[in-house]
Amino acid sequence: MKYIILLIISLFIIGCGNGSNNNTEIKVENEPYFYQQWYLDINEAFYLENGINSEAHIHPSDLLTQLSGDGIKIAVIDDGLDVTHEDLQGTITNTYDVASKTSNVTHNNPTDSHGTAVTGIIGSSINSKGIAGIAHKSEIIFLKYKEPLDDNNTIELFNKAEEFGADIINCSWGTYSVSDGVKDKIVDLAINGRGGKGTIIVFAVGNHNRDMGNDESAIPEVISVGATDSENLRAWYSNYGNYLDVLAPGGYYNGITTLDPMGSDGIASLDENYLLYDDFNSFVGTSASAPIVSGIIALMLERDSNLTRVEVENILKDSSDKIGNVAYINSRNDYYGYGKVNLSKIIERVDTFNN
Amino acid sequence: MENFLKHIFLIILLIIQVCFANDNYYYQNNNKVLLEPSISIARDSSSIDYYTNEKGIVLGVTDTLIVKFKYERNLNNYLNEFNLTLIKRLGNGLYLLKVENKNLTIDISNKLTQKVDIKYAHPNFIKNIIKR
Repeated sequence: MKYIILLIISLFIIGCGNGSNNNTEIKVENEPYFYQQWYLDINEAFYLENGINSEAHIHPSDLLTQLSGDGIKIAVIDDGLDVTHEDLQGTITNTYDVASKTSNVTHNNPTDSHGTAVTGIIGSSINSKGIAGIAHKSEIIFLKYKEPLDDNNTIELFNKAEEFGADIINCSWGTYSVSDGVKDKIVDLAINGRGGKGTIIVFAVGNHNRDMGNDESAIPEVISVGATDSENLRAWYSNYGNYLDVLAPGGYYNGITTLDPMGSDGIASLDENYLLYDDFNSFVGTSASAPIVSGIIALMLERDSNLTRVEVENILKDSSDKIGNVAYINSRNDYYGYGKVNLSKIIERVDTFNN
Repeated sequence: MENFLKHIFLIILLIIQVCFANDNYYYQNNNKVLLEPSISIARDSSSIDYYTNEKGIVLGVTDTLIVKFKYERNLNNYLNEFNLTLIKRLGNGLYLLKVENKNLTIDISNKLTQKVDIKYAHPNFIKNIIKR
């Protein structure tokens, strides 16, 4: 009799457990603002209402549910972060401020928001609160720069990323004048980081509709990312040049929905914790495109952690969609690089890479 | 006679200028990049001199420089030769050094660049970060 009662109680507990799991099933679609993350996936009603080209997203298929960047470390070097944000809880694993040499990476000014917006695109949790980060289970290392920044501190930030074990480093900034010392550090990491497989360093190319020049993004060993708009064309502001690799959504008429520092901090005008696509201060630019690509690379490394930096770069280039009206010669041109990233094709290529 | 003295004076003045002028360039990727002294709105400290390079980028120069050695055995010799102080090692063969006087930072960087055992040297430039 005792065993029968125990069996009934066990079945009851198991039953309750299953029910609970069903109620909290992880779905990006459950995020209240996922419908307006047009850069990730198509929502037909939203696309129609806002005149968005049906191909403007990154073609995720169901990969944003299958993959999450689990176990991949992404360093974000930026101006500060609201570590208390409701959509980043459990995501941030290490922080460092190069100015104070402490772990306090809070934004310097109440109206600063850039680092929080960039980080949100990569790492926002699936918690039914706001948006879906592309690599929502990745571990974010946040490294705060100071403004202006000297070469010594720039090198220190990359050294910190290495020390914290970053697989990917996202830089949504640049100087148009990279010094030899900084370039050397970046190239060294790209070649020798990740135990010799190469750390993947992603730079935004900039928003001045000009040649990349002697910018950090023009270092051949980094992945340089330009922007597309909601018409699925190169955004007019996106910089160009010989070393442009790929494009990803950066928006223009429709912004990139992401995080804003909580409460009265930040710049959001519609929802104080989120920068929505139609906010007066919406997030637009190659700063948004770079973390989309960093997130995609996290999914690639989750699928195959043995990929080298060179292999990641080649897969990105080979799998990109040749959009736009500029001819591609040997698969690239200076305005679109190798084309716009396509997540489904990328993961398909990763899966077949070793076969 | 008066004209002759005037010419002599001008030639002496020119020689003095050439001897004591600071370098108006630095090396990047083994190429000379020209610098113009600049007054920048970012200027917030007299410990920084601001210049604009030929691409129009404003660069701050302090009393520190970055040097990359091919072989490090002469590090101490160069510290003595140029009155430099070692602040820290930044990486493999890469050092942050302090110059006695910030007016000499560019000149010493250029002189170090010309040494056979040095890969490159440049001021520890301060730059504006452009968010994108």
